[in-house]
Amino acid sequence: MANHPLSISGAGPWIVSIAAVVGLTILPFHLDGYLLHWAITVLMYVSMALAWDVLARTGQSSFGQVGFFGLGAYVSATLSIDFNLNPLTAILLSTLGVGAVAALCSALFLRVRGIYFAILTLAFAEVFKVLTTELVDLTGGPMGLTVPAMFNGNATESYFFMLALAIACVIAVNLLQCSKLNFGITAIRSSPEVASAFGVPVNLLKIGVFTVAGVITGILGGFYAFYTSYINPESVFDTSISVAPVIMCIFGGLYTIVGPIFGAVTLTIFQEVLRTMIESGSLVIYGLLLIFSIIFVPEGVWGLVLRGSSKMRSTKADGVKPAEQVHAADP
Amino acid sequence: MELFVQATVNGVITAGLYALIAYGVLILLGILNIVNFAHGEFVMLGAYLAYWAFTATGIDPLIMALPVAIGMFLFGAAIYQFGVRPVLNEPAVNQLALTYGISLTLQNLALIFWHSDLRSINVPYADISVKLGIVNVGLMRLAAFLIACVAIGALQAVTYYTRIGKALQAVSQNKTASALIGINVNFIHLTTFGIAAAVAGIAGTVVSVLMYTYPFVGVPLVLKAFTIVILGGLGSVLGTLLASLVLGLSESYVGTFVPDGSGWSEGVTFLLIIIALLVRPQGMFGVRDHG
Repeated sequence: MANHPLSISGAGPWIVSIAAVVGLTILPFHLDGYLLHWAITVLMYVSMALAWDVLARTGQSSFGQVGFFGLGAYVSATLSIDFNLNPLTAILLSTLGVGAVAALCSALFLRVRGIYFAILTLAFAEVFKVLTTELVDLTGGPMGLTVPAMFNGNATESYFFMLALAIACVIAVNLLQCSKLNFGITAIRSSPEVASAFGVPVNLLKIGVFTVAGVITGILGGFYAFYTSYINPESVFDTSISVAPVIMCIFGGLYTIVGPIFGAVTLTIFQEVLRTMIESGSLVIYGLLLIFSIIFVPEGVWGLVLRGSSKMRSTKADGVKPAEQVHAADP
Repeated sequence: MELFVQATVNGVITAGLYALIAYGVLILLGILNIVNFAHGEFVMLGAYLAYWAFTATGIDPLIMALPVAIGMFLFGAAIYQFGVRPVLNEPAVNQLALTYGISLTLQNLALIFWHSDLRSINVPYADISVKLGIVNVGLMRLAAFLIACVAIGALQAVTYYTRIGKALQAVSQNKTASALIGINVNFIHLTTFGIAAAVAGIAGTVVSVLMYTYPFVGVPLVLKAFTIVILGGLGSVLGTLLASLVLGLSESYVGTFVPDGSGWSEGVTFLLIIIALLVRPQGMFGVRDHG
């Protein structure tokens, strides 16, 4: 970790992390219902953005994560209704189904890359949407499903569930960055052929990461179903759920931990504030920020910070201008 | 039998619209190497322009095709200059995200200013229909189809018989060599983006009479255009036309003959796109696929 080019070394991160966890633990007791709902939404997007970021690290930029969100929502909702399971068990069991579907999709998608991967995932998510809308007997169709509330509607417990998931994601990404796998993943992104020639299990890694990212997104979908107690195809297959993590990671800084978290927190808050001001069309903020960050800060906000700090450090050390290492150059 | 012919005619008419939209996506891919998600929103803007012109002055939406095309050309050129040009040398996924951002912005601006109402145009000749063999076809639908055909034909003629068309072909083959022989590549890019937007605008006027106009009307249309271009192959106008027919007809047949088929016909596009990409994962020939 200490020598990783994208991390800041020293005790700083530990202090910040511990302070953040303590702060986030006492936070829900000081928020009213509305702000608590915001906090839960932010935490959901933090996990989703981190999952998407790790997926993108393998060169798989998905534009269809909502497929797994909706799948997770419907599978866990159906499990809890048909088998009378409690929400947590239903979500846990649904990960098996979502994981199987994700692994299967991933295996099918292996040869498709870049923009075609993006379009393919987008189309797949739409297929799930059409299926849930049309298979009325199984899913209730456009009328949707009413499901029991999670934790008997206790929002504080929901908050802690999401906080636990988000922390688990942060720790997992951190461990991944420290491990040897990280080199393999980075190599796959630059060139799968070269990575494969050097003995990186390309297909296994791609399928593995895709499945894990799909399962995490599916858990979030399941949580969403029980948290709002009502789902329909329009709400859980909303394209904006696919776009959100993409924008959050690009805006915050791709292939980092802080970037997606920062993106998720700022953009969710921006959007919620805007939603209270205008009736519809609050997503305009996503569009504008996406345009501006790609044109002006393609390495994202956190990438900019990292570049600035590494420049400062290296001028202090020996005056050598640092290489532009943050933004993965592509000819 | 009559039902079958009717479904076929409807499918062909829709295919004309699809081909017109896909043509814009095709030239952007061929000449700029860029996948433009915002293309559907250009169609949406064209449809709104035709709609507002009709409600304000009563001008026939299909006559509006030309002024709309000019307006959308300028709009597209501006989008290229300030949005697309800075990222032309960035990774493909960044370009995709940028055009997605433009698309999202235009959709939501439309939502803010014009709300999500479904708007439709009632032209005075809407009820007149023409007998073609054993089926009746609405005069309006026929006119819309003809406009799509004329627009594609005109563009093909420009590409093959004019100086600028030859320059377009040259740039699509080799940018460096084109620049060396004195073609202003950036100007060609600008013009191409403008033309693509103009074609989308014309498609928009067709949309305004064939279907409802609303802020998200472009979303399914642009996905259909991607499907067609992937199915048809890059640089192949004939392929695009055939793929449009495949999509238009299969949607029409599914919608007509499958019980409760209108919902399922939406899925046809996605099924085709998935099959096309799984069979030919590199997408269209000759397009870079890194990212």
